[in-house]
Amino acid sequence: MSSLSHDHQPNAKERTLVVNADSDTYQESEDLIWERFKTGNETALTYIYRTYSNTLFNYGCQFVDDRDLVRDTLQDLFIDLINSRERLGATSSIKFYLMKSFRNKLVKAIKKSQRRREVEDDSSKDSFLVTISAEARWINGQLDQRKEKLIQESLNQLPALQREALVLYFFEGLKYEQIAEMLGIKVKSSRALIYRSTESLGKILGPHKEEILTMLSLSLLANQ
Amino acid sequence: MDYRNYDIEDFLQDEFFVSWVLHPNKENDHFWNQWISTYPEKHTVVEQAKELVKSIKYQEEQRLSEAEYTQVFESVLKANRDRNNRTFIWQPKYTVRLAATIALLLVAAIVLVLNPDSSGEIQSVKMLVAKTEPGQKRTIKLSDGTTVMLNAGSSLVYPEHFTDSSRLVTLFGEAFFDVEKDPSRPFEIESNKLTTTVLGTSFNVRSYPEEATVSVAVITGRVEVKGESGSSEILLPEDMGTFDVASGAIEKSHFDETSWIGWTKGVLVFDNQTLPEIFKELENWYGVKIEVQKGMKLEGRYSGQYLNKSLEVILEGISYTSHFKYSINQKTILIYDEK
Repeated sequence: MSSLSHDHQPNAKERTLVVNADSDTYQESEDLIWERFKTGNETALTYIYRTYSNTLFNYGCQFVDDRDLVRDTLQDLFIDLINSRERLGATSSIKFYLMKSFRNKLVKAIKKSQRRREVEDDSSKDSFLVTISAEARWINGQLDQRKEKLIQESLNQLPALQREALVLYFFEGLKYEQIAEMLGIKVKSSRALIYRSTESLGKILGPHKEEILTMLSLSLLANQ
Repeated sequence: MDYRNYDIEDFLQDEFFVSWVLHPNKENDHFWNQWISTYPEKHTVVEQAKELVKSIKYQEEQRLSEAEYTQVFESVLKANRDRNNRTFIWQPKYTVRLAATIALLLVAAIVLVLNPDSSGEIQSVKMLVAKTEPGQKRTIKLSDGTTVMLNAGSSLVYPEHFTDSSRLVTLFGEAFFDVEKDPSRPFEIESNKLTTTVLGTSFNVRSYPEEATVSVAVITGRVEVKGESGSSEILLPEDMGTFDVASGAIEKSHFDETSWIGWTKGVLVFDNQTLPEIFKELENWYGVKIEVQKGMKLEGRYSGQYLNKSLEVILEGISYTSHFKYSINQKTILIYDEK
């Protein structure tokens, strides 16, 4: 029956595709897409823009309440990358590479615009506000709205940099090492930032932890 | 790493755990499912930690509006094209190429001097036809560097060499084009009363003669489609133009990339299609003949995606959900009733 399978020979371009036969999907690995972007390939550029423009925009808007500034910086980022493409390094995580470059650019742009408007205000207390909203409530309502609100308030009282580290870790999915590189701190410090935040989560859940766990196990047993 | 003594904070602080929650894949899924089934007493604390990770979000989510998205995208594409067209820098390899070219010209001049009769011939444009039978696919490189991937049961008519002013080809069936950029010579594709004009892009054209529509799906760049009756439309990336052959109208919409471009990567896609439509696709894709038992009713619709799967695997799946039996006899498949 093998005669039925089509006899298409992949050309050089297609050989860069990493085919995952198990999940019936196909995807190209990011380092290859990045290399193709550096040669000026439009398909690679389109992929990168489509996949990451809104992630970057959303992240940028957490710094400053100025859509136009964030959008213009995003555009500058892409154009600068294109114009300096043969000097760009290799990367296996396009997202991290973009976020890091974008952050540098945006921080500079924000400073410049504040100088121009002669404002000295440190608006960082409003940056990187987080919210807690569980999709599935814990059994017996242990992560109920009251508790969510409590966690949210305590997280939003943390310094802005710590909140940023927190969302980079829990929402954007970056690693300790990447967060350190991005924020210009030591890996040890980026771990410390996350540890401190998770401890304050633990404190809120803490007082009833034993009790919650017992109830959870009981209700799980009952459900079986 | 011993996770047995882990409490909720410890899980939250563990990169490997968090990356499983945010980006599950085969490897980490395998590990954590295995781990939880080994230590079922940790199931609830894992669930709690997982839920907590997933619940943390920005208080205000912002997205680019459609206009902002397109506007930024257009400037970015333009920058990339300008960059691609910038004057080139002399590199050592060009010296070698130049020397080779001069040598070739010298040889040609000598040949012409020795055989004066062969000079002055008028060159006529030679047309070539690339054709695929059902069950075949084929990639063709045209003289301008454009690559065309022909889907099964299709043909492309093209000149051996393009002239200085135009690049015109004719398509019957379906093909994916990756057109080499050349602003001085637009690339044109004629297909069943619809002409598609581009400068340098990649896109898919589906124009099987037995189908009532011609569809053009754009991946990169800018494409112009024009009907014989005068209708026209500009298509940008993620746009699809559907041309109704009978009425001449062009409808613009978005498209699902896998459904329309998947075939270039060996993905066969059925999107809520009737069984007769599916059998037609299968005949073309595998180069077989599918015969349906007389008087048998084919009802229902079917969706699915198959990457480089054999015909049996696909028929097995469809026959199970659509309740029919089949038998394969070399290149002929007989579909018959379950009873």
